[in-house]
Amino acid sequence: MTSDPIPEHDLQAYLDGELPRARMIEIEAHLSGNADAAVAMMADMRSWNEVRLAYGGAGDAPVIGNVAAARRLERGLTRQLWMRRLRKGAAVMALIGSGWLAHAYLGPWVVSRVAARDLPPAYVEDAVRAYHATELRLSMASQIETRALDASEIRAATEIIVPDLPPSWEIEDVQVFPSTQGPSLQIAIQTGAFGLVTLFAVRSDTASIAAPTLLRRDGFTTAHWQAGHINYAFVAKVDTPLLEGAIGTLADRPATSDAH
Amino acid sequence: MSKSARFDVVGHLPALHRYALALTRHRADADDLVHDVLVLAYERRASFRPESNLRLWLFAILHNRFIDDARAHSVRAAHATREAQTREDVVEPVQEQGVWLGQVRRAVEDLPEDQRAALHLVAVEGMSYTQAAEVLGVPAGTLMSRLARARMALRIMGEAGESAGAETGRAQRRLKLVRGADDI
Repeated sequence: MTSDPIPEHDLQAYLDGELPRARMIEIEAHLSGNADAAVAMMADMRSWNEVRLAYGGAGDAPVIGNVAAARRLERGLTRQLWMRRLRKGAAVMALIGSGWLAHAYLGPWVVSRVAARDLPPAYVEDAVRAYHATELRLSMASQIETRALDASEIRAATEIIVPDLPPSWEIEDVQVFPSTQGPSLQIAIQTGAFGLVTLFAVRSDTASIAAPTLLRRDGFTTAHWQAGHINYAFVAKVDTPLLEGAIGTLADRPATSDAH
Repeated sequence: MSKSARFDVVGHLPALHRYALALTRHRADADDLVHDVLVLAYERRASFRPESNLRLWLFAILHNRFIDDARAHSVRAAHATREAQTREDVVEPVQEQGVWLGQVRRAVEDLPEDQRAALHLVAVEGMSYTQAAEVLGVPAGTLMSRLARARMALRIMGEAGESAGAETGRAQRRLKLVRGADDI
């Protein structure tokens, strides 16, 4: 039982509870057959516990200045977390502001159609995938849809600005989910004329203004545009000239609205 | 409230103060050190990754700050002149719990700073070797050898106290401990 000498560092690790159970048992077997080693180990355990007792108390209440500094750090870390989530948020609001101004100056968008061989940005693919997911969600009884759209809450939480939707459109579902670009927003809408459509929005690293581009691929009509730091993608299954007008209106309606 | 639940810095204050006290051995210095750490951490908050361990992050800042301070003022001299005051300051709250705890503190305070830090993080704060090594910025093997040296030093001090007789040192403390709670 007691044959092999135990290396010092294993005794140390035993004292500090760092050993796997099997090794602990071997050490204990060694100690139980070796009085000198056991006495030394008990003395070490006692020392460790004495140190714990001497230093481990709650101590004095922290001085007030330190509590205040700690709270400030808590707030700072929380803000930092949001900044991180919103990615590079600092200069964004100013850029969005100027973006909308430029937009207003240029007047209403003209929707352009492009050939299907032009590759859309990656987030348009995301939007089409999200369209499939939404169809699936809507068909499942166990998936709870959120029909309430609180544009100001969404804006506060994700920095995504929800365009004003035509009043006749009925919101079926609102989802916020993560993407490589930060939080993205997917709104599913029953439009009547165009059936189920989705509006997908995700933040962009760079601010820009881009008029809607319409694409027809794989049975879907997509339109994507950018306003300030936000990329929008519209997905529908129909293809009718009326869609262009609707999209143009949508892209031309930056969020007025906390009143939505 | 939810803010402090997410990043509970206030909840870590007692442990930070304990560690600062173990390093500085002086209560007012410990308060100052913790305050410096909180200010420094605030300035560096962008470098904190939300998924990482807040306690380890704060402890590492504290440790580095202490080392920097020690380098800056060559604290050895400053502490030597303050030594008498130090002992009184630190030992005072302990007296109510029994003289022997003061003796334990004295023994720990006599350890070199690197051993004291390792001992505190592992034995008192219950950090794993990996965590303590991260705070100290040393390999786990270095941490272990510091712990082993601290253990040997405390063992030798204990034995010395015992052989010095029943009236003083650790031997007395042990007798009192055996007698039990009437002493505390």
